Amino acid sequence: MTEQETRNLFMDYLYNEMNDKQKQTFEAYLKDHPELKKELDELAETRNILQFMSLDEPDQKLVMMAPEPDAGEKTNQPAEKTALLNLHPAIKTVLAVAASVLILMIGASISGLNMGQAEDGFYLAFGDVSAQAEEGISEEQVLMLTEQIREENALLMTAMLEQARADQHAQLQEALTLLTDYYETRRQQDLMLVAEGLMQLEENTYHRFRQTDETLDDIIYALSYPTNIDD
Amino acid sequence: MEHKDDTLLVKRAQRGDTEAFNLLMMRWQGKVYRFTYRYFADSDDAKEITQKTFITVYQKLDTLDDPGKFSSWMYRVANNLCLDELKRAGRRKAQPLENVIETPNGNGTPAKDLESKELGEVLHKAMMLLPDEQRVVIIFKEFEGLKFREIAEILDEPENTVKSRMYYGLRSLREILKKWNIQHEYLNYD
Repeated sequence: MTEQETRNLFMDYLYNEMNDKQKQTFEAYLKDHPELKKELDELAETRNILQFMSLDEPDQKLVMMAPEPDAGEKTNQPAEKTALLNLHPAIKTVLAVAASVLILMIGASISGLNMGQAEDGFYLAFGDVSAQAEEGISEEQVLMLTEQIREENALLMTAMLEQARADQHAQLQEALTLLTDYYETRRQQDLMLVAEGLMQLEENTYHRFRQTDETLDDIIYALSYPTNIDD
Repeated sequence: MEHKDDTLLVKRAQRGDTEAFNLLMMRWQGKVYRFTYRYFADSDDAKEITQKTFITVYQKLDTLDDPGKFSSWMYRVANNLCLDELKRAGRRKAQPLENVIETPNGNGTPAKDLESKELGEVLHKAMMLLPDEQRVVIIFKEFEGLKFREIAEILDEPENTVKSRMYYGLRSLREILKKWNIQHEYLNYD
């Protein structure tokens, strides 16, 4: 039996992974080999001592998957809320209207809203209702108010037109002034250019006259003293 | 190796049934925690790796072709995460066993330590001195009660290799305990 085979048999025997026949054969073999029996006993003792190993058990769930979103939503809803959602639509509408009316009443109470009926019709006001408000406005007063508003509007329109006209006039004046200034500047510049050109022409003409005079003098001198030429 | 209903739960979980996955976790979190705790001898590490294991299982459950092999597949995930953690933390770098088994904690003799500490803690220390591949086989065999065939499947190693690691693991453990004078006092306890 090789060493590897012996080791494998040791393990099979120690951990009871042999059938009965193999076990008997191996035990018979061990009787003839006391040194192997001793080693096997030592391994068994080591196994025994391993049973003393301590172990800390986890005191909590180490991992837990979150439940599926749908299931979570369903299970997390309070029973009352679920019951409300299951009501008939008509009942839900009535409840919604009632809730709205209640909110309006609370709002009106806080803001001091007053509603009522006067001789001229209904009224709606915040705070205390004065006598005038309760009585309402007469037709004559309404006509006066309308006339007054109309007159104010006419005055306002006239003032606006006057203002617009004045602004327009000022803008026109300013534009004309700017245009005049522009043309005046251009005219001055043109005159200066013309004067400068004339001066330049005059200077050139004078220069050429002088050159002509000098040339004529030279000719006259040469003609007057022909001997000099013969020399 | 696993509950018969596990296969059904795995199939349901693969179809997206969160409740089924929760049930699987409830069934298996204790086992995975015990495995990782014995691997690291540290409660925080064990909790962290257990959580990572189930997160990985959740993410990759679709890739499990045979739901009947869920437990071995999950143990493999846990074992790989343990190895990753060891690499990440850079712990237990290879060193000769003879260099580290002189004393369990450097103060006094192991026998005296036993007067104040539980034997279990000393055994954890002894286990941590074993090579990772031997320790994991001992944990699977001794504490999880798996067959050598199942361990071989989880570790993707030949069965004889697993038995060999178990043999050498037990021998190394005995050697450490002998050095600490624990063997004689406690082996006759039973």
